[in-house]
Amino acid sequence: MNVPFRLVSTSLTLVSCLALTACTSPPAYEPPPLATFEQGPAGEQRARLDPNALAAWARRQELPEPPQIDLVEPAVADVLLGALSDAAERRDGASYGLVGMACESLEAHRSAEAYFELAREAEPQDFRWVYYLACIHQVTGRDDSAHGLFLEALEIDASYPTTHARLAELELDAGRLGEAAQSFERYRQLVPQDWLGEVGLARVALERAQAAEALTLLERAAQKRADDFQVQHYLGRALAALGREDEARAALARAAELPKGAWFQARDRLDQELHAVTDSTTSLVEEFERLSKTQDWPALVALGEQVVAKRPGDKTMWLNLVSLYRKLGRVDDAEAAMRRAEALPGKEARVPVTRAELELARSRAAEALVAAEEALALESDSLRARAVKGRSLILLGRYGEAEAELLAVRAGAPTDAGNEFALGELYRGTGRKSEAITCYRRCLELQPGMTNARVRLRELGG
Amino acid sequence: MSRTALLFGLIVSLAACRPSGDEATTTSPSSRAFVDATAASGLLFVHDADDGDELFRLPEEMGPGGALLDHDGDADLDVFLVQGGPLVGAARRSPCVLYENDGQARFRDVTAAAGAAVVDAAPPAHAFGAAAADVDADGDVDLLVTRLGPDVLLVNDGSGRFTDATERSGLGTPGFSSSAAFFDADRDGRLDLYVCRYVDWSASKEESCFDRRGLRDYCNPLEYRAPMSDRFYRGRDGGVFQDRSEASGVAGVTGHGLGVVAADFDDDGWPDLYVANDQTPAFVWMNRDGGARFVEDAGLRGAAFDGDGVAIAGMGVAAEDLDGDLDPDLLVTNIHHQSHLGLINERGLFSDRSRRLGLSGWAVPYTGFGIALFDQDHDGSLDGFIVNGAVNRLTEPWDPQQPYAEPDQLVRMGESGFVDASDEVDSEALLGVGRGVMVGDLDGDGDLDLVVTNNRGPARLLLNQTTSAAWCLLSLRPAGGGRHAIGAEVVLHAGGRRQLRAVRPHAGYLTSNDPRVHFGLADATRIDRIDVTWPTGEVESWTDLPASRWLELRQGASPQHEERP
Repeated sequence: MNVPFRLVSTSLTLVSCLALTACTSPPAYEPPPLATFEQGPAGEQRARLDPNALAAWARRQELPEPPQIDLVEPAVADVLLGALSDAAERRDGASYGLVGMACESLEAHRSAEAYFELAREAEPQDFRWVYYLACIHQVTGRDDSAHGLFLEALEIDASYPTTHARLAELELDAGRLGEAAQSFERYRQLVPQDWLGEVGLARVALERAQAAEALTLLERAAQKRADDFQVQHYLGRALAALGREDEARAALARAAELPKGAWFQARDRLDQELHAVTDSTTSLVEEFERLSKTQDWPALVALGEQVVAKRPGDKTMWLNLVSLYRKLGRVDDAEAAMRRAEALPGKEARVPVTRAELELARSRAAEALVAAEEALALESDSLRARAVKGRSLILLGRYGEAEAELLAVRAGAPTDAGNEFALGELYRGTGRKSEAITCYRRCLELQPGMTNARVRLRELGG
Repeated sequence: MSRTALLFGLIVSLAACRPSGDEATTTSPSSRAFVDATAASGLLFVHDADDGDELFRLPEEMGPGGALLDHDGDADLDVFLVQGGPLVGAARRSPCVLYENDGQARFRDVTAAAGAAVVDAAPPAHAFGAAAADVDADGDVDLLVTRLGPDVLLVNDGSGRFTDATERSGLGTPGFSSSAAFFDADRDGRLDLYVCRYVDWSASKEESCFDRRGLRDYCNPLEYRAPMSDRFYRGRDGGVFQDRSEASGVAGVTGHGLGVVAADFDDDGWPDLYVANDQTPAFVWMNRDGGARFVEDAGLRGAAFDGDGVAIAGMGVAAEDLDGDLDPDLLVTNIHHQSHLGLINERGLFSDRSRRLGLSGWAVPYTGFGIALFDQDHDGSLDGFIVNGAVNRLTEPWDPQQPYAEPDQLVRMGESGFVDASDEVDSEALLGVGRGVMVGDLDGDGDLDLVVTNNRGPARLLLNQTTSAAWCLLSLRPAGGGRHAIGAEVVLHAGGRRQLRAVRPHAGYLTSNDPRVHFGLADATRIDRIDVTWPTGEVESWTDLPASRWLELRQGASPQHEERP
């Protein structure tokens, strides 16, 4: 079941919310108090709420107290106030639940809990409200009641896998190993393709000092997904418990290289829905970070533009946009984004470095060099600044200085294929053929798909 | 018997003679565990770390710490509090402050006369923590101040006046230093030093971060992608140190180091180290080749992550015997929504027993920094004081005027591990953006008092109100000179019980505690025996000692002891 919520454009935000509730409310109903807009220190638009007026309004509506938030970005205020209006008007599980979700996404646990309680009461057949309540109890340290609530959620709907996994974690932490094993087993049955069930069962086995059994389970998990932190971490622990120290160290070393954490969030649709509900800029940034692994530049640009539209003081996103526009050949847009970043307060080296990279992309080596040196004046050990400086110097024909910079980058970042290519270009351009070939070969070792290095090698007969 | 009951069998027996935590929460105001004595004490320190431009620079929110030390040799503990100061502006200079104790926990500012201000460096030098020890073994206590920028070593001339000996000492390595631990890695009688380092930060590397409300706020340290390696210095004669970070292996790994404790985890006689890293795996440095080399082995020993495989936001750390088997276990403070981490040590291998140590419930809503484990009420079991303070603006703040403030917590070991006993302290005294806690007997009455530091807020003096039960306070003097035998382990036998403590003043977060060893003796009237394992490895015993006394034990002097006033 989808939770209905209102998404209103920022320009309409609170006013539209008030207008809507004013038209549809019974006579006794009063709309939430008006918020005012203001500009933040970095130029971002902020909504200022009056928490006392909001609390008084909620009391008059016989609703639980909303979060004591006085300042928030307009989109979040829009969703929160809209949800409160709906809750006052409809008084059903979905509208109470939506307020709970909005509050919880802002980590306003007390308010969220009160609204989820109302949602549970109004709509007892919907397991989500109990599930969310259980999660709040868990993150606020009430493990025993969280356990009871997860069980209650399972009585309503036993088909949501993550309930079993969260329950199992609580049981494992409490040393209730038999129950934990049962819960992990149920998760495994519900999602047989996921390795989390085997990992959980292996953890139970490790707690029972049954390392051989744990190892078998983890090897089975590794067949499903070897490049998972948990799989390799517990594989290491099991091997260590069996005295196979070298293999254990190898597994732990593999684990160290893998992304850690967030295994619940990645598997928990309800958690994702909760955090997306306020349509906050933070949600967009999280989506941007997820998408950045895909190299889908147009999609990233679209997201980045949404972020800076809501949050014009986000220097990091402006700089991301400069790089993205540059990759897409949108030089004018890149220049405009660059100027926005440069206008924001603070003197960080990443700003002139990005400027230098932009100038270099336009083949304006002299300007790039100035910007790179400005960055190095702020942060003398910035390898990124030294790299762009080195490339600028190549274009300016100052090969000796360029080589020194690029060799320094190599010393600090020996796996940087781009730097290796730049060195190759430098050597090729100065007639140092064998050194150039070595660089291009190294490029391909580091990045086998680097076609321009392959082309250069072919040209040089290497 | 269940595993839980087995684990806590000893603790239960020790705790049987005093109220449980649940009962403790109903204690009337007249039986407060601590009272806030700040105002009357003269300890009027407010931490300053804000440039006022709302750019949320990471170092602003990390300090401050401080140290308890007897700087003037008059047998009471003075208080050194570390000041931050602006990170980018040069106009304002904020000195660290040294408060001299009159013996009754009344203090006066003697910073200028003692030369302890530490303000000579230009910004961005910004101080965070302190470690006190007699680094030159001349019988008085010296001070290391950790900073963003070069750390500073203040050497005591014996009269309580300090001079800056950083350059001569070899300790002026720049970086974002946090906690530091003096310990004798090679058991040669000269103190060595481990310094944690947090993030390779400068104002020019600052990032812009926002919270879920869309407001600018402090960044997570991972945002900087700039973990640092820690430093290890070998102590030489005369307070001179040699940087052995590379040679020892310590420079070989990086993390976000915030807390460190030295203890012999594998019982081989050589002190090892645990380092709490903020969201990067913890380090366990195992001492090898007689202190010449350290091997990072946290992964294999089960201490790099918590039991769920999470690299916790490790802040402060304490090493005490949590399960009564006479070896050092670990308690590491953590960020909110996760419990603190309780690691039980079994011959150098660690198991996450957080839940079974009671580290859920009360601990989960808050972000813990400083930690002190000690026997507040002298009943023979460990209590704890955890200092809390958020690192991001709270949506539901305790005080709207202090959006990062959280209440500190007093906890007591009960039948199911630690339970919250914060109701035994005035709630107003607990609220702040807590960072460090220093524990020591400041008023000379034999129980342990607290000094709490708050980020961009006042320091607080909490005086222990315990009046019943016996206690013991031990000064341990090493044979080869030096004021305190840092690293010495003590097993005390009294009333049919055995308790382990150690001279480990550096435990916690950014702080240095009373270097004396304290025990609660409950109803015991005499101490049957005290076994001391000195840092050099020798073991000595003393028998039949009086209770409720401050005793000085000198290495090689057994069975003689000295009663201090």
